[in-house]
Amino acid sequence: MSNHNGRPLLEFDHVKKHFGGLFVTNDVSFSIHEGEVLFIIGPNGAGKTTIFNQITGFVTPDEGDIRFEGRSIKGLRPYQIARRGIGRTFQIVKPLANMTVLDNVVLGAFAHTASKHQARKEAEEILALTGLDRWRDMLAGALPLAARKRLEIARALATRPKLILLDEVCAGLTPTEAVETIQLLKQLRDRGVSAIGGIEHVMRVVMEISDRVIVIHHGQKIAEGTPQEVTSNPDVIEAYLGSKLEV
Amino acid sequence: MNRIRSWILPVLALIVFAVIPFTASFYYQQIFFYIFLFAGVGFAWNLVGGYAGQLSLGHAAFFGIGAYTYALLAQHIGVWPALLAAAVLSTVSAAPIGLICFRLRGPYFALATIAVAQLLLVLATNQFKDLTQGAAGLLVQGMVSDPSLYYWVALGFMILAFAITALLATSKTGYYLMAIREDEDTAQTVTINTPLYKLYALLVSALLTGVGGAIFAANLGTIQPNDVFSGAISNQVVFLSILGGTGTLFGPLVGAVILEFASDWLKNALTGVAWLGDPNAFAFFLYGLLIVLVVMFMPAGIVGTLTKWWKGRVARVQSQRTTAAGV
Amino acid sequence: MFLQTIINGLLLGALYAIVGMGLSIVFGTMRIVNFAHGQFVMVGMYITYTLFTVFGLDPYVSAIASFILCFLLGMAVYRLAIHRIVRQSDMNHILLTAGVGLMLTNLAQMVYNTNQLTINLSYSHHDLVIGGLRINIAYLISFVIASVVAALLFWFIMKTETGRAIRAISQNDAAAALSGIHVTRTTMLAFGLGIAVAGVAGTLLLPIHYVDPSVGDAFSLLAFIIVVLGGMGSILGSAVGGLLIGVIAQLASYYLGQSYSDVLTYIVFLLVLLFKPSGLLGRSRV
Repeated sequence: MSNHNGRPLLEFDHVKKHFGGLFVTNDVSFSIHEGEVLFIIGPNGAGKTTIFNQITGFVTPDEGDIRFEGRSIKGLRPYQIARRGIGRTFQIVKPLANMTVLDNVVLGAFAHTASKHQARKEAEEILALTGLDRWRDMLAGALPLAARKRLEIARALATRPKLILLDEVCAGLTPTEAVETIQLLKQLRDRGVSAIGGIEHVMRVVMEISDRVIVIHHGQKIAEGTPQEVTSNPDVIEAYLGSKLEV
Repeated sequence: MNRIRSWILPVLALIVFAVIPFTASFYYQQIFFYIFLFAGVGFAWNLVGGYAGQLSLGHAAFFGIGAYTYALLAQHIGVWPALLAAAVLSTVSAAPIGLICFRLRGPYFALATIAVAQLLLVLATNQFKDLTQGAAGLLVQGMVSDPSLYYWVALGFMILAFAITALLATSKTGYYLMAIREDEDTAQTVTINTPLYKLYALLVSALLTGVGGAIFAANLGTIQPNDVFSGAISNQVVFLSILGGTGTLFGPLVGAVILEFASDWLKNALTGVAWLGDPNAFAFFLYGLLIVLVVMFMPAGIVGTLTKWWKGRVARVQSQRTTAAGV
Repeated sequence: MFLQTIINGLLLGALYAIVGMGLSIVFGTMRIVNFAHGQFVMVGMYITYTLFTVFGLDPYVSAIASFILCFLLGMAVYRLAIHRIVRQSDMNHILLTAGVGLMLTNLAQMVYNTNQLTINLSYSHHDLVIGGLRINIAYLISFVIASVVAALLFWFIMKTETGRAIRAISQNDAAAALSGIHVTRTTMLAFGLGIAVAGVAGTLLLPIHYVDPSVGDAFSLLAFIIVVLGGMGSILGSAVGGLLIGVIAQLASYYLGQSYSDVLTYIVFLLVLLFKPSGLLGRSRV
């Protein structure tokens, strides 16, 4: 089992969501505990990002409840959920293109201070941690992809989230870059992040850092367990038939 | 060091502005009056249109509300209380206007702001004719005894507008507004209450724009709805900001200086050139051409483009230095 | 009188529909936010006015001239200016086309001055009386031609090869390019077509509406109101939107007074933007 300690931080409780006649989330339940790294995997179009969008308030569930630290966050606006302590990155990176790298992160730090001096100081620390300091004064729109993905993490981190949700932060990266990102994720706990949720296709990343994995297929949860348990589950292999499972 | 240097230009400008009225004719004082006034309103617009990236094409709504509030009240409650009332009413009016228009994004927001301003123009011309005297015009009580003093009123207004927008733009609020401009979804994920901040920017912007409208009306002496509620006012404010550079601190002032001087020079130079027809129309034709060219070739505006060029130069020099040090 | 007002509204609305349909191609389909649409309607009006006063050409004949000249003008404006910024933000579309509109408005003022110009047709004061209802001949002819133009446009977009290419680009321009459609040329053609239709609308409006340099701004806003009302990207929707605005304007004008037609039009527009942003007939825009 996982190495978490005690109470669930996030509870995703029997959530249903459909667009038109199609269920994108069909009675899915899972929780993320303090101290835990949980990854969601599944074939393309399985409904993984919709789960993140429901947690962060961009999509409201039809049925079920979502609780954070025991309190329901269903129906709250995205900024209210962010204030509760959930940070996120987007699969399709959304750098604030006409702001500098530093300002992107300063913006995040303003979540808990009104002082520009303080926000800048924290942003500089996070830039050093994420290895973005050499691009500090560059416009975010001009960054290479790997750096943009890191900037997403850095900006979310600056808001001091308790839970951070990472949507495919390793997709499109070279193996070396992916290793650097894994190193970074391992350090997030030092910055006060108590749990990480992730969506990932790169199985090497999932295997290396997740405590627990859930598998989503056609909007349903078909498996849950340690990375090893999940990847040897026949249902999961079945679901992935045709789309190679890179272990 | 950098801090001091960034203040040299504004201080120099202020000294020049303070000396002008003692050397310039009344004619040029009036040109400066319009530069200051529209720069001030441009600063106000820039908060919403430049920093927050919400293209309002209906700022004439606030300009007109400020102008008419002042015009209708100045005789009864005094000049300065009327100016205050203009500020309050234009701010208050921005709340429902913002709540309606900010539900829309992109071109729909721009269209809604035009529709609101046009609606007010029609209402002020017809339905509220008893109050506004409609197209016949309404006499407006002056603010100051000597017409040349309007120079100082407008200068004061511009400095106030600059101070307020600069204060907001360089603080947390400015960062938040820029984040909203760049991507509202991302802005929300870093805890920004985007509807509230957009409304906040609009309220401040409307307050300053309303004060600008009141000063404009007082200087003019008599106003009709078309003077203050028209699309020409809305567009003027937008265009000078675009020319100078949206989302830059000094852009609207630079734009206002260039546009006022250029149009004044053109009108004088072209008067009597028969084949051109109306010289005023030709000036506006060139004005349109200028906007087209700026959007095509210099979308960051004059200040924005210069800033980018300067930053690029500094970055190059820095990288050369680090390379040299490395060797 | 109610029925008479409705009929007047529909007659006027058919012309509004043509104004809207031109923008529907440009904005609804090609996603170019053209704030100069009304200025091109104005150009059509001035072309018709000039041909009528100088050569005595019947306005309904000069519709062809309006179409061709505005088609060429539209394509030129697209190629010279809009093409460069077509992939940029809506804000840049709006600003650039507003600049084009300002140029056209003031060019018109330089040539024709600010006078409100009208043309006097021998038949424009005659009414057709059917069962107590009066139908003005000029309105009726415009209505018939407007219907024909609308039908032709609809046929062109839905049935021809070029029309299919235009629709393909509006769905997904990358995929359209992959399937061998020349995106730039087709977009330019579509823009020209939208502007040509605006020019024809100007021609049809002139027998019943004065022209001066300021009509452009009014028609630009009106065109957007119609397109939004009818639902984005739906040419048929724009036709319905135009008819609806015509009826609303006439009813307001008759029962509340002339100036209320604008008031009501703007209020209806704001209400639709707020509560039915996909338009009355349109697909969702979200």
